[in-house]
Amino acid sequence: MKKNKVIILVTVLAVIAVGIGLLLLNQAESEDKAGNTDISGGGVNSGGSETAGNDQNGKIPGEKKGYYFEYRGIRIGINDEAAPIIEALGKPMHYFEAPSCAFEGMDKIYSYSGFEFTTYTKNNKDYIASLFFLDDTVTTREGITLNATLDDIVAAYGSDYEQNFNEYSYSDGNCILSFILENGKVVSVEYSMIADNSNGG
Amino acid sequence: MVKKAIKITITIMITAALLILLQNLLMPKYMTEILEGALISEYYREENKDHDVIFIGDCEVYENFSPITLWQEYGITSFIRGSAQQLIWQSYYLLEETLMYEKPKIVVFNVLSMKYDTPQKEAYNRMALDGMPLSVPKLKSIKASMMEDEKFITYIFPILRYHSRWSELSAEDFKYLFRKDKVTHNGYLMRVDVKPVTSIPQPKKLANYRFSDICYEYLDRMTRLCRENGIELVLIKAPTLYPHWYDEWDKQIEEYAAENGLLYINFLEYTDEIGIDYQTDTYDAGLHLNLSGAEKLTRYFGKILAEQFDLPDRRNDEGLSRIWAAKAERYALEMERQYAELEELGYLKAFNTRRDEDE
Repeated sequence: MKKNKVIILVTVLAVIAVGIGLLLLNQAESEDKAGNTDISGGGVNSGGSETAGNDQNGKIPGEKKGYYFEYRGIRIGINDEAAPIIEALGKPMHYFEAPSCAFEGMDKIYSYSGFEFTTYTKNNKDYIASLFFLDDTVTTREGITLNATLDDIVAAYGSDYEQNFNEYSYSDGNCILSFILENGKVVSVEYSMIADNSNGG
Repeated sequence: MVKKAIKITITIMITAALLILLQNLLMPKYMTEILEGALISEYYREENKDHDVIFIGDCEVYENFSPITLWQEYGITSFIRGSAQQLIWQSYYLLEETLMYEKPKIVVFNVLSMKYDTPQKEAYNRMALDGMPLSVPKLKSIKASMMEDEKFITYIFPILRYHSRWSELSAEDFKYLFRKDKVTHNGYLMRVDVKPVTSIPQPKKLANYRFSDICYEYLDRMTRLCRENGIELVLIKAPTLYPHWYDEWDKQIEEYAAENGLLYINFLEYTDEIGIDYQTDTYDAGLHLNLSGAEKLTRYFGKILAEQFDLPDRRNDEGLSRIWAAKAERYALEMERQYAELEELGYLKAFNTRRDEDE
């Protein structure tokens, strides 16, 4: 009888030990992986790229390489902290908030003269997620605007683009600069995050 | 020998029970915030699973239609099997699973999810899947939904995913360990607050407007499943102003509906007829309707359902009347509670705690 109780006790402890072991193993694996969502509370919105060009100390970056938009001397790059940019730009013409379902993040959309950008939130700070042109009053730093042609784009950026239907994209590792053409003319210029460059539908 | 076997069996059962208890403790409860996580599981608590209409889809169904209004105005019974950013394959498998419990006359599917052809976020997967009991459709849905870094086993044994919550356990986790409150009204998540539309962002141009093959595949499967079961499938697009619903997308759905003999209603084209006022009928500046908007839309759609599909008015059924009277009472109480909270705080607590964390 006593022997049976010992067997039962040992079995229970063994099962619990295995269970704890599995949990710890799973935890170790989870911590190794980036981008796990905390879904039980304090969720994280879409994460930004961890690559170069990301100044998260509240300063607008100095000498920047790669693709970024410049407006009246203000540099706006993907994954840049939004607050100093917004302060420099002043009050937007329009501001729109789009909370995701179940508040899994919040898109904040700021519209200025000629362009609009969206931010994402990470660690309680907002960063630039994407920027696109509203009209042809603004250009890229390389001189491309709406109504430009593919030849103009290639002359400015080279022929090392990725084509997806009528979209032509260039990547600098942090940002994707893409142009959509219709009837031979640029109808869309967009800077976007590398993880977020997807077509609708 | 037999006694030994019995003892071992009892030991295993007790261990399993303890692990299940631990799992229930560690899993998020979705009772005081992120209520959207509690939506899917509420269906299984319905005593009378005999609905004329089942809605499936994303927040554009569970925020925009009121089953209580549908009953009160037309005697039509319904349930909304919606979840946050529900993807089309999740909708399909949820429908397949629902048909294991009942066979509605009509299934209403909101087509916005046709724009998503890949898994989007683990959090949304969890909200769609964790509330489902184990079943073959659930397993298939998990497989179709998983992000690259997710593990299948964590959906079978959620304790493997939520074990790290041990440090975040709160009173809510213990209070709702064995039984949760209902947060919806037959799947409708009520919001009485108002945030008028001021401006809507300009829609971006897309490189390709065609919906993906995988989305069409699941839409085909949904169509076939309904046809095989003698169910009318109705496609809808809710009258929400953002995200943008492109004309090119609308045309595809129109064509699909015409080819397959389905009714498709884009409610964006009928907002005046419905009587939607985007200054009073939305709680988030045009993304979703609030209670006022949902009831208007439901009244409009209910008339179509009743007339076009000859749905009987079941308000004369004593048993059903009793059940729905209780539902209506709870609905009215929730409305009163929300209005009172809005007046006291200026916002609804359950839907604003995470917003405060992010700001």
